[in-house]
Amino acid sequence: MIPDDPNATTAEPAAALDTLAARALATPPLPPEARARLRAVVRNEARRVRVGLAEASLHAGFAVGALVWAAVAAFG
Amino acid sequence: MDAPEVDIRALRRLDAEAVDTVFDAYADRLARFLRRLGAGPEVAEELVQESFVRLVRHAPRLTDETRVGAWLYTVARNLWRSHRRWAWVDGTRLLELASRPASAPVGPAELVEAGRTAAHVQAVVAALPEAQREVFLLVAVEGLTPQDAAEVLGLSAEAARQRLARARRAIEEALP
Repeated sequence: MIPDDPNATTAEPAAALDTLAARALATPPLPPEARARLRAVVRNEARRVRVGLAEASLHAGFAVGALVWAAVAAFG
Repeated sequence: MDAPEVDIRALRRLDAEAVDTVFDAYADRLARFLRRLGAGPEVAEELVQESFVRLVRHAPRLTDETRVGAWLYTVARNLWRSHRRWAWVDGTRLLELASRPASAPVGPAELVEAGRTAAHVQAVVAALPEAQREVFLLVAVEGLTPQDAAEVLGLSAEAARQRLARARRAIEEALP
């Protein structure tokens, strides 16, 4: 096991090494067509989840309304 | 490489603009991270898509404290590990390796710094043990803080710091 070297995390040399690595390991961005396709999938999924949430709150609203109505009918 | 500002409340409501902002901020970063972990371009795209789909499904449960970047990297990394496990079982990994170019993709061809070429740095980083490579990529290349990297990797901050120090030392020693 390599003993941990406290100097290894000294900010300056570590920053230089990180910059070197970040430059060397840069990759081209996603191709535009792939990016557009992924974005469309993510947007559609967001829309689907939004609609699902809206429906769930509507049903919850109906359920609460029904409970209130039943309570009023029983005790009112 | 600062973490982009994310409006968590808008994201929780799945506001279309907030979803687009997060996608624009992280899609390329996640793809690069996955490529450097060893994913081919198609697999990286597939896993980026799945990471964002999971984010929007989980969005209503995000808390104000959630760091979206760390969350996405965690999911992407887990998906990659899961993909790799299954790919070994069904053989697609072998097909992917066979179809890959002989050398790792090379960035800028010019000398990066006093005799250190991009290809050399790539080879040195690729040769790191996976545990060190992951933390190094997250901190040095993706710009996460060591604390966020620790969270992504499920490590204590101290363990992540030690792995990072070992990775940096190994790279320093391997470069001319």
